[in-house]
Amino acid sequence: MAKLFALALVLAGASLLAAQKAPPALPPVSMTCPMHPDVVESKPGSCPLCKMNLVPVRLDASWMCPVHAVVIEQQAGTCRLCGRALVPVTVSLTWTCRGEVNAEFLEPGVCRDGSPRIGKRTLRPHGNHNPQHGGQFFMAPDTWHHLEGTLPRERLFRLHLYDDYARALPPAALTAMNARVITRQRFDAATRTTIEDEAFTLKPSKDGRSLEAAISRAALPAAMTVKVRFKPDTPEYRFDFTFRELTKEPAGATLVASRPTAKPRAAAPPATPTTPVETAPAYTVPTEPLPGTMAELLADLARRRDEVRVLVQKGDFGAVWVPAFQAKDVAVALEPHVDHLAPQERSHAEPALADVVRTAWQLDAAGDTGNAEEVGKAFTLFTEAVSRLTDAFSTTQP
Amino acid sequence: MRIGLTGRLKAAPTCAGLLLAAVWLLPLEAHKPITSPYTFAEDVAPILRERCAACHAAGGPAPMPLTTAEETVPWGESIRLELVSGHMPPWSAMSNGKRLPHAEGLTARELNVLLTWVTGGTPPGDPKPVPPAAPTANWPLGAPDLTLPLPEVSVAADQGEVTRQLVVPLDAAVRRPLRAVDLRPGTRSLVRSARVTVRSASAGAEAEQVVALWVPGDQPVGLPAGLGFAVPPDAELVVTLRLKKTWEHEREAMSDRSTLALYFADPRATAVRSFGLGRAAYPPPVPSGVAGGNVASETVRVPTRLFAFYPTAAAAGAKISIDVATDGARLQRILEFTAQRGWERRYWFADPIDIPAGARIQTAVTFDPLPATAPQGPLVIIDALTSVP
Repeated sequence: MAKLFALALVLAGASLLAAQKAPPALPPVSMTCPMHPDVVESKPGSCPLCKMNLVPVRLDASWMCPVHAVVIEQQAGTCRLCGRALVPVTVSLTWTCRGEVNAEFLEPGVCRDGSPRIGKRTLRPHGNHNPQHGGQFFMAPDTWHHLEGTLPRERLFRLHLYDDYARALPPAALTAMNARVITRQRFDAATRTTIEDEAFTLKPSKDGRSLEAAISRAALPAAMTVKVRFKPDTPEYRFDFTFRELTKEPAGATLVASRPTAKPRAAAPPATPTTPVETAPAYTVPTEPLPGTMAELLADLARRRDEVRVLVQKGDFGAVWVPAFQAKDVAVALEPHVDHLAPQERSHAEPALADVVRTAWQLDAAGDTGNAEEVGKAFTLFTEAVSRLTDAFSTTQP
Repeated sequence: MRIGLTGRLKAAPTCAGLLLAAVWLLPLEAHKPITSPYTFAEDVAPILRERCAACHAAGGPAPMPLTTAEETVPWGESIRLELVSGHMPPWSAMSNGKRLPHAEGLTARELNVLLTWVTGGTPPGDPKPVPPAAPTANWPLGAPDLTLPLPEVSVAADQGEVTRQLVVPLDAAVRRPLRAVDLRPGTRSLVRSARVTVRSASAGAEAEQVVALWVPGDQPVGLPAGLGFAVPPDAELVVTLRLKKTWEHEREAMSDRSTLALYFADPRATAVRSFGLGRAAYPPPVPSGVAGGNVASETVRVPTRLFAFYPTAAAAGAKISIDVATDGARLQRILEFTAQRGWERRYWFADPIDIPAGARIQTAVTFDPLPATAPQGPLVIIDALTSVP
């Protein structure tokens, strides 16, 4: 699956913790198609769609205003124009020169007039997975569509649809969709099917910018499921939303990024004449250091599991990956400690460690797409793996 | 370095709609921003070489070699799916206290490195040549006592997968107890599994003894000295080969001529016997799509030494756990595995497990979902010595 900016942040932590490698001065170079920015490869070649030669690009993490896309900063903070909280995004990083509008460079340096090149950050596909209307944001399994559900009123459900740049889809695209929101459903064990007791067809809103449905009064917290077929010949996808309160449209400085990954970046070092933009690569974003002792690691693992549980119970699937990935980092850090276990416990701990890692990635994938059933399955396996791991290590703890 | 954005910048206003339409019509699978701190050359290649190269190499049974970044990158998403689902590597066993030799699972770190790399942009790293995988010995157990070339078997151009049963007569001189049996495929990309049994008319069909379950990449294990699988005077070997083409060879006529390796035990070796466990106990028909299974217990009457377990064909797809309880003691898990379809293998204990007379062996088998018809016969076979000194 395509990975997101948010993943970059977590991988950042993983790299810091797992690898003792000197981070490069700049983010690594990828190759992309000038006409199809979704195509990003790790080596030169031609675009599989249009056969154009791929061009190099540096991808980095940044912070963007959800309203003013021109405001892209290196650090978390507020928008200079409206005061809204900046949200994490993935950008391409280039340098240019004043007076040379077509000049694009992959490195900082000096322009022909002797002035330092100017850094520029441009939003990338999947670089922004932040809700834009205060709702819950998911990526469709086709990895191109994105959607956000909101409950602005007790009797109104609204679905905003985006492309891979989190740009709102045009009204014409929405009219082609077949979607409904299910507010009451039950599982019939005899037939092993889900029966929809109350479902409402989602139709284009008056302004054509979203799909919406008048629903029965929603008692909070309100769980509801959206099933949508983007085109007649595509599969129907399922997304599960849980609203603990009515959705408030972000306004002014009160807007806060919903993703808990919006950790502040390290302050950029002072700029030098040759590096007008200091680019800490995405994976140098600071993260919480892992504890060192086995007991502390196990306690941390239990804490991460509990954090995952809370998010799953709240229906905040889009944020599940954060503690899940932190848990798998703990599992990797625990691996050397199996040497201290008796053979019996060790043979139990080693597969459990791998299962914590595997199920954390399962949670990440399921959470991305907002499917409650898949998240639930992954969470069950995840907690089982954590329990097995804890049991295996329990005999060595004081 | 100057990048070619000029054209894009100029064309952007006029092509924006076209671009959106194009992407709309062709939802693309992936963007791969490079976020992985792990590179193929430094981090991924050593894992693949150690864990996957037995199959994922040129000419191997897996259709996609994974020996270079160029070969591996296109399979990134498939690798992610296989690893996350646990389908690959095809090893699911856990033992409690008894190490399984030649375990082929990935460690937590290895799994994390591979998943981080495939989802993090698959950076190639230093493009230095990757050293080739260490050549595997012809016969991992050493020079065989006897090699038996098998008859040639073929798969026609219009066939994808076939199962062939070959009967190998044994001369009287080589009807000796067997310590181990191994197989070397003639066409590695074709042979997916082999089952070798000793069949004897005098012993009856029930006594047909499995002496080898071979799958690609598996390491053979021999019985300890002084022990062997019995070979009756009228015995013959039956080799069941499963042959399957990779897509690279679709519509090609292919053939294989594998070789069996026999390792004899001492003629006076004590016979290791096989016993069936865990018969299915639910009546058909069963509701479709429902998970379920059964738990069966067997009490051993004499001191018994356990060497290995393997699932029968009836248990394909089931999750199996085996526990042992001696009198008054709680159950202790000795093995847990999934009988992965197509990967029937024997799970040997590095150190055999001795259990006293009166001990109970409990076998729990779970199918998800239950098969439409109840499996017949035992679901698990145990290789054991029932005359422990």
